[in-house]
Amino acid sequence: MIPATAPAEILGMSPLWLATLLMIATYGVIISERLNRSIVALLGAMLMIMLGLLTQEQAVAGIDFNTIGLLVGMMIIVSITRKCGVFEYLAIWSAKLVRASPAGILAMLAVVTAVVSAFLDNVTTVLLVVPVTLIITEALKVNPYPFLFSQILASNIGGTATLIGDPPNILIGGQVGLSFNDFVYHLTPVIVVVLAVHIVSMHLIWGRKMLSSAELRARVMAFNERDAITDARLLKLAGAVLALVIVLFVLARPLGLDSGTIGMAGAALLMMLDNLGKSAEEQSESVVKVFNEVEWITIFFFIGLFIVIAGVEHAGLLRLLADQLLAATGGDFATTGFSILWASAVLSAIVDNIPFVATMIPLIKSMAPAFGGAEGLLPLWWCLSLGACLGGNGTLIGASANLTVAGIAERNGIPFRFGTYTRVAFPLMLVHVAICHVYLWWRYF
Amino acid sequence: MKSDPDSLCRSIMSIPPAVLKPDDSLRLALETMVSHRVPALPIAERDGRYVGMLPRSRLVALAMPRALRREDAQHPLAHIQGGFIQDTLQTLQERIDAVAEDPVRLHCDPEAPVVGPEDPLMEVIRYLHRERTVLPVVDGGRLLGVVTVWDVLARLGRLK
Repeated sequence: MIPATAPAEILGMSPLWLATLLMIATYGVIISERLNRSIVALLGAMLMIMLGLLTQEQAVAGIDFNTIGLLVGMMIIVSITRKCGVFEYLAIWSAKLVRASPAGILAMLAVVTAVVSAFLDNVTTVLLVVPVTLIITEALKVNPYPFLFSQILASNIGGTATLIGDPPNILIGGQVGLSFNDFVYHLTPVIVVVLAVHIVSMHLIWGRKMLSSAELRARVMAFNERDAITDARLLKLAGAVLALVIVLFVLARPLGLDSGTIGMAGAALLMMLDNLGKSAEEQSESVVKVFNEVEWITIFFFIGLFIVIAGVEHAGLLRLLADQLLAATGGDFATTGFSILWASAVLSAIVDNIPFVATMIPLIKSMAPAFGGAEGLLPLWWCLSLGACLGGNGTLIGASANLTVAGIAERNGIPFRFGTYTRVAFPLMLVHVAICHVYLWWRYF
Repeated sequence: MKSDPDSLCRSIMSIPPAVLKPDDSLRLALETMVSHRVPALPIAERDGRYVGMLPRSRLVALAMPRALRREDAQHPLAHIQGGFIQDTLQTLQERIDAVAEDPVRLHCDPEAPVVGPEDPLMEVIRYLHRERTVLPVVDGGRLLGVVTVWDVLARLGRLK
């Protein structure tokens, strides 16, 4: 039998306490990394239902299918697009544009990484750019570390610029109903400034001291970027679909379309075009391959988290926390915003930013009455996004792209240590967040 | 029940044309491999203790840019084609020259599959059907011999 309303007491505890304990336990095990995060989130979610804190119906209603649709849709589009070699092409082309000078390449690859990352997820971006970087740095006989370091930061910076660049933005956009244009209008300007500052700091720290002989540079100039394109037909199809998806994102509001629908529609269209003219057997093989590349760990992690958060929200915890936060900031809008910015940044440098952002969203939503309704909350979403996305740069464990690059580097014999990375990255992250602080203060507070 | 000796690996095992010592140079390994035209050479200590295998694919890999050297299709970098690289024979030779004096133990594959003399013959056949290589036969940590696809074909065709 499904209870219509939450009971007054479960296992001798109030639902509020039980839900809180369950959430803390779930997050604790996620942070300890003893068990795969998707398993922990799903276990926490199922316990919320089995202990009677949520009905199955309420749990399903708690899952934001707009976010899930956008994530899966973009993962499918990216998994097909990356096969055609266009990103290798871009990296080589940009290196040749600066006549293969190491300092120029350091800057150009940061730009390429940031721009690509604004449209693809950060891990995919670094998986595409880092191997080409290793090939170029080996040919130039320069230390690859500064390049990899710069690309980690650039991928997280670029990802912050758009709705689809980084999971926290997908979450915020999906759950709050913010459009692609909202992100471009409010976040891209400050991200351009942060990226410029990042490029200058990379030049001052490493770039200006880099040297390579004319003979070695000639080796890179001999690379033929056109040979990187492995499938010209697919490149045209994927390029057209990606462009269409972005146009639809821009026109989403007048067309009355949600981002999840756009992402999924793009995925379905690209899969259709990719499979036209193939035999039934080839089609199932190619579709299975594409579905296998969807990151199911992330998807089930999100689904589990959504339910856990629905549980604590239902029990009244988030409302309580929002009241506490408002009391602590004296109900002052700017103080609340800056607290969110800095707390998100520092926390995201240490722990996974997704559970944090997923919890903060309903918490901030419940502050609406104090700040003049849902419209008035807009600047707070930018504080959350900028803090959570840029904070990930602070340490090697701050974001998945960081660990991915470190893993590839170590496998290629390039030491990539937590301490060495953090010593340079954490102060730079603080500078980037400070720039955002000034921008937010100037524009909204 | 005692197995039929003809159903065991021992029945088709042969003596390898050469066995490398861990401190032999990679250049010597390359020369030996080329002169005997074998897909892999076993490495063992002077007293016969087995160390690992050096496959020819490893030597080819050492001539390539490092980011392209991967033997695992599941590796996240496996999709990088590197078709844009225009290396000349001289560049490839330079990469080999840079490691030519390395002892082979630095480049051997200690995880390469091994078989025991009493292992079933079918196990070896199934493996050689999938992989074109040489299987070392190891007993009590000592290298006894190898099984190659030629040994198997010779026996199948009653040539030996």
